[in-house]
Amino acid sequence: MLGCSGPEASDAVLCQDVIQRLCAGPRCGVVEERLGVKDDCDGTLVARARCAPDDFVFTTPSRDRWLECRAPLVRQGTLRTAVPGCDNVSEVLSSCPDVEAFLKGVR
Amino acid sequence: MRALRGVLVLALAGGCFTVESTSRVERGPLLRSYAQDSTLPGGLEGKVAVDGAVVNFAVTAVQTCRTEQFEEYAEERITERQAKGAGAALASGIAAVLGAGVLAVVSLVVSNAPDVSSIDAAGRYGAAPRQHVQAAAVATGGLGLPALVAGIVGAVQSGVDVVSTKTTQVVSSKERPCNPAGASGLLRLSAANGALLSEQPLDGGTAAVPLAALARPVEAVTLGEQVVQLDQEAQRTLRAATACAQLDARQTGDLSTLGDGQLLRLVESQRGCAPLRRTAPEVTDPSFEAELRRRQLAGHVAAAPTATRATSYDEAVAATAPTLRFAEGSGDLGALDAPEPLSGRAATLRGTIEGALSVNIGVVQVADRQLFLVLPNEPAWSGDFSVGARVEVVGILAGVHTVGPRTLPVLRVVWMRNAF
Repeated sequence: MLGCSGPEASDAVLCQDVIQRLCAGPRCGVVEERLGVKDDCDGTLVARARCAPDDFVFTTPSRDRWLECRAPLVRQGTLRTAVPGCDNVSEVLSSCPDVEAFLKGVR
Repeated sequence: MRALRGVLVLALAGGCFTVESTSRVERGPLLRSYAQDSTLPGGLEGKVAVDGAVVNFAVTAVQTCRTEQFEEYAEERITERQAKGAGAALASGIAAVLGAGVLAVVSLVVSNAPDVSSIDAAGRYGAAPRQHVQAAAVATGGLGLPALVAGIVGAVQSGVDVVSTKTTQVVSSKERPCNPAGASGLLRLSAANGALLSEQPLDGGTAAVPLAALARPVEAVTLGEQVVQLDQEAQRTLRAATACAQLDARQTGDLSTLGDGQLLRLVESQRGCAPLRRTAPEVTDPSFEAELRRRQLAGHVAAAPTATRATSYDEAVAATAPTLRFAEGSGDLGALDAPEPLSGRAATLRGTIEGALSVNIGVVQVADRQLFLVLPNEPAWSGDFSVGARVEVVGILAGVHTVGPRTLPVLRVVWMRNAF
């Protein structure tokens, strides 16, 4: 039963999931400092990442890289409503500069 | 397929139940009863009869006829085998497999839509409810199938075996002498030291032995290597015949010339021969007993029977005819002041054991007197004769003896018993 899992989530859902976890309240200060977001954190980051369309596909970073950097954010739980700790958030932004650049809209 | 193989291996491993086996035998009805006769080797039986100066022996060879009664029964040997735990395994296996089947069916009506509320670290949605139910079905079936197989194997190993047989037992066995026939061969009569007394061929199972040949007691009657069994009557007749032969062999003449031992043996022969010659003069002659009595009263030691001949205190008193009595208050105690003239006279005594000087010499206290008691090497009596024991004694006075500081009269004991 532990091995049971459903189909792969699309790249767009994965991108939005990371953004949702980063922006989940109470928002960590490092998110505002390093990603430069204020009120509409989710919308801003989705727009920068351009991962709103369902047919979005990761290029750089790749899907695997995205999942690797996402790992600290799901330590508190895989439910999409789970709120990661700020130490997890800091770990992601520190160890994944390519993801940080992607979320800043830097191509 | 690989998975199924693994399940079966687990099942067989788990199916190695301990099979307990108990057996019992149940007896059925009586099928038949029958008798069976057989003949076994027997022996030789002898009869003895005295006719004047001849002792007639009749020897019969007999066999032993045995009749055995048999009963034959039907018998069932029942062996019950039980694999412990097989029942529980079977029940739990059936329940688990059925449960797995139910879950498998239920999973078909359960939603197959993935759980989009979670995305795991691999980027996959959560499992659909159908997947959960199917996993539970597999797990339940995986646990139940080995137990089911093991239970089936155990049930197959259990069972009852019944083997029907017949059994025969002997319910009674009777033996009796049978097929008597006159024996043939050389009849030998031997004395105690093996000396041959007589050897006569049997003619038609009988032999006539001269009475004179039996002047010594017959120890064995044999025919070849076999012993001829004499019943009690035949043994009594033979002993009487020997006594008569000894009586016949006596030297006639004045009884006073006979030694004490000779006279005693003559009297014993007369007594022993009496059953065969009740009115014969040599048996009824009272002079033998009279002479013996006279000598006993005169104190002849050898005229008195020894302890090995008496078999009781009263018999010893009757045989010795004591004329002296040593006891508290008895006037005969004064005679012990000069005991030498009393030698050979029989006396009774009542006293207390004062001490033991050796295995067969003790000291007895009677009033204010003491005597040495001399016992035979193998006394025929028994009792508590430790120091302080009160005793009654019948014996023959035998002079005076000195042991250490004590010089006392000697009484040779004929019989002794605990008393008063």
